[in-house]
Amino acid sequence: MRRPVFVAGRGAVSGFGLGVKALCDGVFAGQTALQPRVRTGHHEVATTVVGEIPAGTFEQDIDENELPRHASLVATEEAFAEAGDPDPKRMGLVLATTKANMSGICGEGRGLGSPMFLARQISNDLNLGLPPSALSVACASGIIGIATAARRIASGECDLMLVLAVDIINEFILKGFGGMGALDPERCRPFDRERRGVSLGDGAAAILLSANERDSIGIRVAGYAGANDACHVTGPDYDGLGIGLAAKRAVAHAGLQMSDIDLIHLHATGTRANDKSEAIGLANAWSEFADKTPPAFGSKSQTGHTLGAAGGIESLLAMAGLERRCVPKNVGLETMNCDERLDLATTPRELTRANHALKVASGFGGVQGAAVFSV
Amino acid sequence: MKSATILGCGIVDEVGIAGTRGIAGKRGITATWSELDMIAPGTAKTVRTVFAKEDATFRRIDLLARALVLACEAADVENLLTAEQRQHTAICVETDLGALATDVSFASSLGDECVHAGIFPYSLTSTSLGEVALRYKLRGPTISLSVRDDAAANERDPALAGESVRETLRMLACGDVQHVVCGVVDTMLKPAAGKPAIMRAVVAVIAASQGESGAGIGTLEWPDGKADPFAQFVAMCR
Repeated sequence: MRRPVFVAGRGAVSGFGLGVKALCDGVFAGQTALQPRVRTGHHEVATTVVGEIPAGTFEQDIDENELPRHASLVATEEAFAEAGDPDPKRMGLVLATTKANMSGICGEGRGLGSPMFLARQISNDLNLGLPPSALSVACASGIIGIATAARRIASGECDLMLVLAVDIINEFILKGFGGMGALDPERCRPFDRERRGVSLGDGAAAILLSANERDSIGIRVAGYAGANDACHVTGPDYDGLGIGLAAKRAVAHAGLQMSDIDLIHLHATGTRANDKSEAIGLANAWSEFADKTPPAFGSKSQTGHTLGAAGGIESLLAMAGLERRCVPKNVGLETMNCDERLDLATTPRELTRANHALKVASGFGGVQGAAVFSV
Repeated sequence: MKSATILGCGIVDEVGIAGTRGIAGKRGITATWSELDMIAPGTAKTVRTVFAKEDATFRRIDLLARALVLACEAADVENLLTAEQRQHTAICVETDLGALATDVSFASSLGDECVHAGIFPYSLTSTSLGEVALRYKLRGPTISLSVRDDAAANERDPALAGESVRETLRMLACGDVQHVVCGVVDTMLKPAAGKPAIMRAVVAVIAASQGESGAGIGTLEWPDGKADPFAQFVAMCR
């Protein structure tokens, strides 16, 4: 028997600055936070733009390796405020990230890229009463983190779980993606015929989950699931089998039919392979029910790909789609050349029904994750 | 669910490879690195010699993935679970050091004209789990957990160790999956970033209910936060 899981509070720090409102207002207005690189501007990589947290966002200058911790704490403060200052002693933490704090590998320090090192720091900072968990499943970390925390509540182990999804772009990450030839030299254009790769961005998302409906902001984590492409560790399954499987499993986990889903927030990286396979996989997942998928959007052309934070940041945007009863336009998309059964909006679209949103994510290692949020 | 059924185990460490079923089809047989005249965690020849299999890409994968794949072979994942069961089987593996060796190696190239782009994907621990997933067609959820509390002080909080076991039991309790390949992996051939060399991959195939044959080889219990939660798997293999 699974207990229901409710969203009790939300917070974010992104290229749009502080707060969930700034993030959602920016994305739904069709703006982009992808700007010429400043903090990372001295690194020689083949792209001009990154979605950096804007200079001056925080009161003081923070060392880049300390930014994951600081941004997480700021996002948490916002989430706790929305939740009415819940008791941290009853709370556990799931930290989701790809590289966490890279000090000791890049620069002096003790982070060594250990997610648990960062999780324990934050858990201590917040005085949380339950032991933290930390996971790293590449760019699916955020969504798998939500599933892991939700499972902790669903299983009856605890009543309050904080999910933090965070990553800060640095030389290691920029040059890694650059070396693989995966970066778009300019702003990325997911699903567009001329897309050339991904743009990166900073992000921290805080989502507080509760077992109690009285804590709810009116949104539930209705279902969640994972899958693996099981075919290649860096490239997707060209039939999109894994992402389609994760989507179908999450919808079934929520006790819903595919036709119940009202909007999809996509992974939508802007690489040729990801977008093509994502479109095919999701289109096939809906093919028994409709000619097209529900209205779908991505946001990495606006926030940048925030890696381990993406599943968190983008889940906030999926929830905003339900609240605003709207799907924003896919910024950068002019001419689609992926499976056209994927219903991509090129202008903002109002929804006649907005009850259930699906968020999907993919990561290196063939990892796929999906979650359903319901009002 | 505070317990589940262990169907099989496999380990790779500095001594060799051992499993409850897999090696040469005999229960409990151990192949030592010394006997094999190889260095852990082996080469493609290891797979051929010990398991009579060909693995065309084994020599190209990172050390974490090699150790995990050999441990899975020793556990006999392929035969413990049917093809249909493997479509839904999760992988849940914890690590102290994560991809630290790869991180250090990649970081050392940051000042070069060309970075070591080929190893960058392996700086993400999920990539090593992906190597396991694709070999056995494990299409369930994939989770890589970090359990090192103080990354620079070589301290290990026993309350954090065993998170993969706890997460496995949660997944089974919620009915999210029926089978999990659960374990721990840490590999570093040489000391790096203040950490000692280590070679350890321990995996167990866990089921919510008893196996097809009706008998598991043991019971997986919720870790008590004191003993090494993987010691029981090692004991089953040797």
